Amino acid sequence: MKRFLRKYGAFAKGSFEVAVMYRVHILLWVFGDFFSLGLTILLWVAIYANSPTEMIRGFTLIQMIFYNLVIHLTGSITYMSPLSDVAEDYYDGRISMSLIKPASYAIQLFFRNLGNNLFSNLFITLPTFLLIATVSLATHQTDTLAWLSFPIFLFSSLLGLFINYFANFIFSNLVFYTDATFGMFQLNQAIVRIFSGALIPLNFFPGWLRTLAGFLPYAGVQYIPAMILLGRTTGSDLLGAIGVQVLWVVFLGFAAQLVWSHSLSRMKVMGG
Amino acid sequence: MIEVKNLTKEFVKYEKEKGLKGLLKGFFNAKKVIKKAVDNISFTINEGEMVGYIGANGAGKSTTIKMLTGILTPTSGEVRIDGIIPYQNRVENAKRIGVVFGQRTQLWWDLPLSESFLILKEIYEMDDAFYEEQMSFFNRILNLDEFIKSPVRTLSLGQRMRADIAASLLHNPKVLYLDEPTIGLDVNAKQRMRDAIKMMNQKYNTTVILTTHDLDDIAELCNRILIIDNGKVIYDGSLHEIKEKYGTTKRIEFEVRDELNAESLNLASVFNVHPDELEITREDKKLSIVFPKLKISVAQMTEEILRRFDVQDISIFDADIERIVARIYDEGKVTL
Repeated sequence: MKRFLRKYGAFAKGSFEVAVMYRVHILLWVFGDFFSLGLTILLWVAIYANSPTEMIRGFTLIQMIFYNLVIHLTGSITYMSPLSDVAEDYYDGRISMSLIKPASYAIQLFFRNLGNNLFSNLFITLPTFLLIATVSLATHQTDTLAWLSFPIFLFSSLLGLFINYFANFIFSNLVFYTDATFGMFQLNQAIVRIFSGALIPLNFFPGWLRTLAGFLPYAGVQYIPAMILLGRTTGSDLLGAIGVQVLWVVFLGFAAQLVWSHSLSRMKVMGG
Repeated sequence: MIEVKNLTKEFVKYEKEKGLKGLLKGFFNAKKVIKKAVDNISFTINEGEMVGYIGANGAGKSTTIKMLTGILTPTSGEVRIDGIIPYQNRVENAKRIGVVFGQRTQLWWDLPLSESFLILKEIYEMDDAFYEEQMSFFNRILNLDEFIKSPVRTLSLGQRMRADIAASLLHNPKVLYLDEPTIGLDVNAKQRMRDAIKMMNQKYNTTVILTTHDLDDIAELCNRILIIDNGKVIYDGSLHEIKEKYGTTKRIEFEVRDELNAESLNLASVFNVHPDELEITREDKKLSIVFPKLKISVAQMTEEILRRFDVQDISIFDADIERIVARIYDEGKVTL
C-alpha cells in the first residue's frame, strides 16, 4: 500500500505542481466559478420573487440558497475530470507516453486528477465552506444545515468523488470509439449537470425523469452528500443513501476495468 | 530476449472522398478500408544487440515498436520480451523497457526538468542511492545540469531530447526502444545522443532497437539492420553485407584549376557503358563522377580525367548508405 501510494502519488504531485504554476489561470477559474454561483442564486431570488407561494417543492428561498451553496461545495470536493485528460491524451497521441509507464492508466489518471482535486479543494472548497458558515451565522439559519452530520457528509462526498471518477472515466472511453472529443465533453457536462442535481434539486424533476435519475450514478456524486448536509436525508434513509453510493462505487469500479481493457485491446495511436 | 513471430497488425480506416461533398457523403456513409500496417513479420533479437529498424515513412516501423512496447495489441501473431507478452502484461513489461519517441516527450511539459526525474524515480520505484548514481552518470554524458531547473517547455529540441533519453534510461531498462531519437537534431546533438546510447549499451549490455531515417545513426550504432517495407521485413542482416552487395559504385571528386564548361565529357562512350550508369555533376571547379566500380576501375577513371583537365585535388568515396537504401526502398526488395 505504501509502495502503491508512493508510486501513484508522484502523478498527483506532478499535476498539483502544474496547477500551482499558473497563477492567473487559478484566479480566473476561482473568479469564474464564484461568479456563476452568484448568478445562480440571483436567478433563484428572481424565481421566488415571482412565485405565488413562499415554498417551492419543499424549499424556501433561504433553503434554496443553501442548497446551491452546498451543491457547489460537493461539486468542488468531488471534482474529477478524466474525460478532458483522456480526450487530450488520445487526440494528439500522447497516450502512448502514459502507456509505456509501469502503471495502470486508469489509476495514473485518477491520481493526476487527484492533484487537481486537491487544488480545487484549496481554492474552491475552503472559500465555499467559509461562505456557507458565514451566511449560516449571519442569517441565524443554523438549523438549515445538519452540522452533526458533517463527518457523514464528508464520507459521502468521498464516495461521490469515486463515483464521479469512474463514471466520467467510463464515459471518456467513448472517445476511443467515436473519435469525437469535444462533442463527448459537451454531452457529458450536460448529463452530469442535470442528473447530479447541480442545476436544480432532483425532486423538481417530473416523475419519469426522477425515475431515470435513479438509474444513473450521478445523484451519488453531489445530490446525496448535499442532502445529508442539508439535513434532508436522515435516519435509515441516510444508511440507504450511503449504501447506494457504495454499490455504485463497486459496480462502476469493475465496469471501468472491463471497459478500459476492451479499449486498450483496440487502441489506436494518433500521429505516428 | 525479443521474439517476434508472425506479427500482424491491421487498421480499419475510413476513407473519405475529396471536397466538401465527399466529406458530407463520408459523414453518413464512410467507406471502410482495412490496411495491414505490419504484415506477418518474424525476428529474434538477442540480449545486448543494437539493431537498426529502418524503412520508408509509413512502412510499419512505429507500429511494430508500439506492439513491442505493449501500447498496441497485434491483430495476430505473438511478441515475447524476456518471456513476457507486452500487450497482455503491459505494466510488468514496462518496468524493464525504456522508450523514446522522438516526436513526443515523456517529460512534464510545464514543470522544471528536475521534477520529471523525481516523478520517474517514484514511478520506477528507484532507491535514493541508485537514483543519485544514475543522475550523475547522465549529467556527465548529457550535461543535464545546464538546464535541469528550466521548465521543459522552454528547452531547445536538442536539450529536450537529451533529457528524454536520460528519462528513458534512468531506471536502467533491459531493452531500449528508440523511435527516431535524432529527428531534427543538429550534428553535435546527434553525436551526443549516439554516445549516450553507446555508453549505456557498453555499461549495462542494454538491448537497443532503433528506428531512424538518419543512416549515420545506424552506421555508428548498429551491426545488424532490419529493413521493413509495406509492413514486411525485406532484409535482416548485417550492414556490411548489404554495403558489399549494393555498394557497387564509387564516386570520385576532382577539383580542377579552370572553370568547367558545359561541354559533354563523353565518358560513356569512352568506357563503353550506358550513359545511365554514370552520374556526373559539375559545379564551378568541382567535378564529381559516380560510376560502376566493376566495369570501370578507379585508376582508369582517374587517368582519363587527369589527361583532360588540370586537376588539383582528388577524393575517392564508397557508395554511401543513403544511396543504397534509397535503391532498396525503390525496388521494395533485397536480393543478395
